Amino acid sequence: MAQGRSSIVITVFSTTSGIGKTLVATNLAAGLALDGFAVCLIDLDLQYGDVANYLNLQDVPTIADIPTSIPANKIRNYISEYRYGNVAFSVIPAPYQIANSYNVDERTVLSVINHLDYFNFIIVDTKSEFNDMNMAVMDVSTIINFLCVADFVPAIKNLKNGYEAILRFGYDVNKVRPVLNRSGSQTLIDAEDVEVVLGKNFYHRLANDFKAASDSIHSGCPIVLSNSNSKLKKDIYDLVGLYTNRPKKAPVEKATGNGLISFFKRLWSR
Amino acid sequence: MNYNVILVDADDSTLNHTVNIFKRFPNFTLVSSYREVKSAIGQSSVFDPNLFLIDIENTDNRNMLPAFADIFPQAIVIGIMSKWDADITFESIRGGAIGCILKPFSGEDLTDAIKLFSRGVRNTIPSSCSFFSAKGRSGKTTLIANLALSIVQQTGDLVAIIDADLQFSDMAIFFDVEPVTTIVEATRDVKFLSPLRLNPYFLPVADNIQLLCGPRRLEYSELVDVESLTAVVRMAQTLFHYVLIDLPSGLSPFSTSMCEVADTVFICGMLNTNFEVKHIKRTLPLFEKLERDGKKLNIVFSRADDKQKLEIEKQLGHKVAAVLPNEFLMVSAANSGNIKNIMNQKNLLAEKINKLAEGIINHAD
Ligand SMILES: Nc1ncnc2c1ncn2[C@@H]1O[C@H](COP(=O)(O)OP(=O)(O)OP(=O)(O)O)[C@@H](O)[C@H]1O
Ligand SMILES: Nc1ncnc2c1ncn2[C@@H]1O[C@H](COP(=O)(O)OP(=O)(O)O)[C@@H](O)[C@H]1O
Ligand SMILES: [Mg+2]
Ligand SMILES: [Mg+2]
Repeated sequence: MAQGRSSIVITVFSTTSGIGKTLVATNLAAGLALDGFAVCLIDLDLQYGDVANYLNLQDVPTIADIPTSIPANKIRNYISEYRYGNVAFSVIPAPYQIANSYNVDERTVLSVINHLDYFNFIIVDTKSEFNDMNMAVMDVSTIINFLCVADFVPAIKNLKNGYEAILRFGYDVNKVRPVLNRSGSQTLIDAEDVEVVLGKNFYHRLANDFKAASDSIHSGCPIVLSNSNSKLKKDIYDLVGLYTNRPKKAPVEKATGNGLISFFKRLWSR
Repeated sequence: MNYNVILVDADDSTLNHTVNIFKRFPNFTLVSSYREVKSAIGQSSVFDPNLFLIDIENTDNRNMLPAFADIFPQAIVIGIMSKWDADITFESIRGGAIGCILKPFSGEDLTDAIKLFSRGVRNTIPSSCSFFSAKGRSGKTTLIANLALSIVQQTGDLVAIIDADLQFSDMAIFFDVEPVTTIVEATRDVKFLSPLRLNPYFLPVADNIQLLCGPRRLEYSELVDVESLTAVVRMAQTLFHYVLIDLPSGLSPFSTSMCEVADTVFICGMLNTNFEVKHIKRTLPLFEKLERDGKKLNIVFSRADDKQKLEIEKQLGHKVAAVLPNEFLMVSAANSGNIKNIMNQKNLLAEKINKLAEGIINHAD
């Protein structure tokens, strides 16, 4: 698996889309950089990647520009820098043209990851889908950040199926960390119920703050680097801390769930 | 109901076979049979027929189908063929047949076929729509479910939904039903199926709405190949008045094939960060090519208002068919499997969806 490499690879994955993978991936990268680590962020949502959009990067090399058998010493030519104030991290965005997404294969990406071993952290953003590329990268990942949102019953079915499939595929349960995004949003589903459904507690929870999220996306500045004083910013920075062994503050408080709602029960008792 | 049947087939074995099976089915009477379609058209009226069985592998027979509809408006026409052929079936349905069955057929087959092919209210030309989205969470599944309800409400016709969002299918949950047979079995078996035999793979989920469910397990999605799925869709197009196809997000051999096989393509997006519009713009040239080839293209944005519609149209350089308002009711309805309630209420979302459905219905006319 993650043999012969020293950098930590964190893949942000989910089996529902539109739930904050890109937001979390960009902020993890920014937060780790803020803590002084050398970080590279790779966008593997090849057709419709948003990393370059959310970081407002234009006209920089993309993953599709990297030649198939690139020598290790040439990789630096294809890495761009994102900088905000005196915090900086490296980025390899998804192709600008959809046609170029078809030229990116797993072998190249794996060798790129190997060549990026001089970074402390490699953060990978993905498309919500089981495909060869995602599987190959999850194979070599140190941690899979499995993002969840508890807002929508059909989506939760897919989270459950996806989480169970990942475990069936043989990934170590300690390697797969379910993280709840948009925690506490006005939804009809309790996070605790989702934990019951997954059979695993959330490793961490990120607050719901639509304004902070969309402001950061539109300004091209990750929340952890902004001067926002939102809970979301704190939550994300705490998640970063969990990956760097920063001394822990108070543990995530656990609300008590009020039991499975009836339709929910029906759904999972099938 | 009793049927006065006229058989049009040059093959004597079909005649013998039909005579034989009708012995056990007294409600079918073979009042006459013809080898040539010209004689059938000319002579049939004296027998007061109400059911024609016509060999549609014969081109002359197919070409004369509209004449049967003209001269015998109260009779139904069922095509018979020795080998399943989607193109021939399509042509026959356009000509006025209500459907096609395979030879040799049994009396039960014929009874089932009449029942099956006469569902719904009128005989429209079959119409099908594929729903594409660049990114997930575009409101696709929600839109499809509501359009299906609206089409049924407006026409009483029969709508099929095919859940081809293979890895993350969830249409069954929207309608709160438990999948029995799925797209996995349908594609596996399609080589041996006819419309009559495909029908039981669909699950009734609401009045006049039938669903071909997605795989029951994520890994089974691997078992579905593009070719078989295309065959299933083409067969379904001859079995239902409307076929709506839910797709995985993004471009893939699956989504492009499904867009090719449908006569209308919906491109769905949900307005969130505004980068969605940018993504659609990058994809649009591919679809505009299909549009130039005669395919109808509908762009739909969820969670947007009319003012935003104009901006999106400007950005895309393409007309937007509809914008759907943010409707919180939608989320709670889908969560509780109560989606049927939405279209029964008076709200802007239902209004907009009815309008879109009207477009699909008129296109089919
Ligand atoms: N914690 C949060 N609170 C409020 N809104 C959020 C939060 N996280 C993400 N969002 C919003 O959700 C939307 C989707 O986020 P994002 O693009 O990061 O998701 P994604 O999983 O990468 O989507 P896709 O699967 O389409 O790539 C954005 O509009 C973002 O502003
Ligand atoms: N018009 C709308 N207003 C508010 N929420 C909507 C609307 N349309 C869809 N949604 C919600 O958006 C989410 C994604 O919808 P869904 O139809 O599952 O999208 P997709 O099939 O493209 O993934 C669901 O929570 C759904 O209830
Ligand atoms: Mg993303
Ligand atoms: Mg869907």
